[in-house]
Amino acid sequence: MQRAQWPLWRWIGTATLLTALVGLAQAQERAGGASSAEAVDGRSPEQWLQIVQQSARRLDYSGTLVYQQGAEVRMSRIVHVFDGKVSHERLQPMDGRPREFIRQADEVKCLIPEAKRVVIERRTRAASFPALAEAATSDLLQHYTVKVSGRERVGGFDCQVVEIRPRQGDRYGYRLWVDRASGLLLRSQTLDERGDVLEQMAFAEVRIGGVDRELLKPSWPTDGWRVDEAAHRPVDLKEQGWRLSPPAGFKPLYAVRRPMAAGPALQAVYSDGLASLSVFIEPAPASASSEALPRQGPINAYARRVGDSMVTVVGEIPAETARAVAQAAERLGR
Amino acid sequence: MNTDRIVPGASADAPRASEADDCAQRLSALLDGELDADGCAALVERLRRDEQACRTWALLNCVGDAMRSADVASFHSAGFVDRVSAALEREPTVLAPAALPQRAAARRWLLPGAGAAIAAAVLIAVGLPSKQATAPEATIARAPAGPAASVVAAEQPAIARSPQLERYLAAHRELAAPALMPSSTPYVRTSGALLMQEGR
Repeated sequence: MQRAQWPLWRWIGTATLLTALVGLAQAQERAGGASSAEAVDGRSPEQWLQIVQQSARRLDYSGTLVYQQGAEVRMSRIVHVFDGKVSHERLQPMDGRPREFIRQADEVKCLIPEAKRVVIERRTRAASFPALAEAATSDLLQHYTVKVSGRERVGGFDCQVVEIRPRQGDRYGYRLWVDRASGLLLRSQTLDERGDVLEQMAFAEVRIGGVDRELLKPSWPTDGWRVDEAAHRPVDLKEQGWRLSPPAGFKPLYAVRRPMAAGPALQAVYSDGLASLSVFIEPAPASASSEALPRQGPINAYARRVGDSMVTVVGEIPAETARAVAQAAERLGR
Repeated sequence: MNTDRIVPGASADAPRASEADDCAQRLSALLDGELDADGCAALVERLRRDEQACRTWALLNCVGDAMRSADVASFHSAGFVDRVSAALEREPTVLAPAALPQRAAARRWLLPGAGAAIAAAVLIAVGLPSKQATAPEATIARAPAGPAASVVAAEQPAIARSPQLERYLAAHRELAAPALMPSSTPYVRTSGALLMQEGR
């Protein structure tokens, strides 16, 4: 189940990626014993997306993830292990100040060595919100067209290219390179309406299966470190006096009250299965007015003053969508 | 770019720029890639013999780097140019006979007077190693064309960072797990992997 590690740096020049690997009992199971290549071949676009989703969650893999946005390139080491119930992950950014992110199911421990601190962040979903994977693919096709296009060799591996285009201009498109043998997503690009690449993420090197669990352990002993937990309290937006109107297909994932730099804020998170956006509502500083914040790759943000509140929309969405969501935020009469 | 050009010791408003000011203006234009070939040649020739011009050139580079990044600017040190120049002088000359004419031309650039210009170029390469080495072709190709295109690409700030946006992005990333990629990948996006609790 173990494949050779790939030397990095092949990708100089064209951003990217390579990789991959193997195995996968899963793909073969799904195929009912047929070879995995055939199995994935006859799949509908919807099934392709399901395979990608499941593979990202259920395979064990470790590798080097390259993230590129404009001229900026960042690399991280990532280790992912699925224990049969939940996934465990360790992410080590290789650039900037040393940090590590250790995830178990929905809890992420962020290690800050120079401060000897651990910050725990939890994605605690309200019971009424369906898990993304369940919600996903069928609903997704209402807002995107998914086309299984050509096959391309990526880093020596036979990949299926999957093109996801938005039906309307209110969200971005994606191009995926999926390893035909394992179903693992090896490279992913976010595209604007002209087809320009806004950001891309790719494995520069990956090993699938046979991941040593020791690799999930943090680099530093954290005994005696200060532990802080991000305090989120679920709230009902309507009770808080707000009505938000995200674009069609964006379903609510979370609505919480949380501390932010300027004080407590409401945060509502929505996702359409591929893109997500957050709406922050907090007291407005006296001088604040409505404005678009600087864009960062696929991330756009728009802040709008509503009475004495500031409504800020942030997400992997076009600028106009961020603005429209902010404009549609409504203070309910109380 | 012209209107807000920073020129040490020169005032753009002065009715008659002194000769030194004029030189500084042209050095600044050279730095911005706005000088034509003849202008470049004349100025490089001048850098060979005019120590004051060399110092101005080094200062302009230092100011520009400081404006872009404290990290890059910290590579500057007073004796750096001299050390690089001296090291270049000590470099053994390795050449094939047939290459003589070209070598002679290149040699001109290696004279002590041009040391500052070379040092500045070395500086940029030293200061931004990974970015220049790994930026994909597509990105480089989009950089402004011109004599200094590759340098321009390397100098551009990677991403316009807004501390305000970073904070929202950190909070967004915390709750918005990607559907297709490993769950932790949004942590890759924020600069220096900023955390919500930092920087308060």
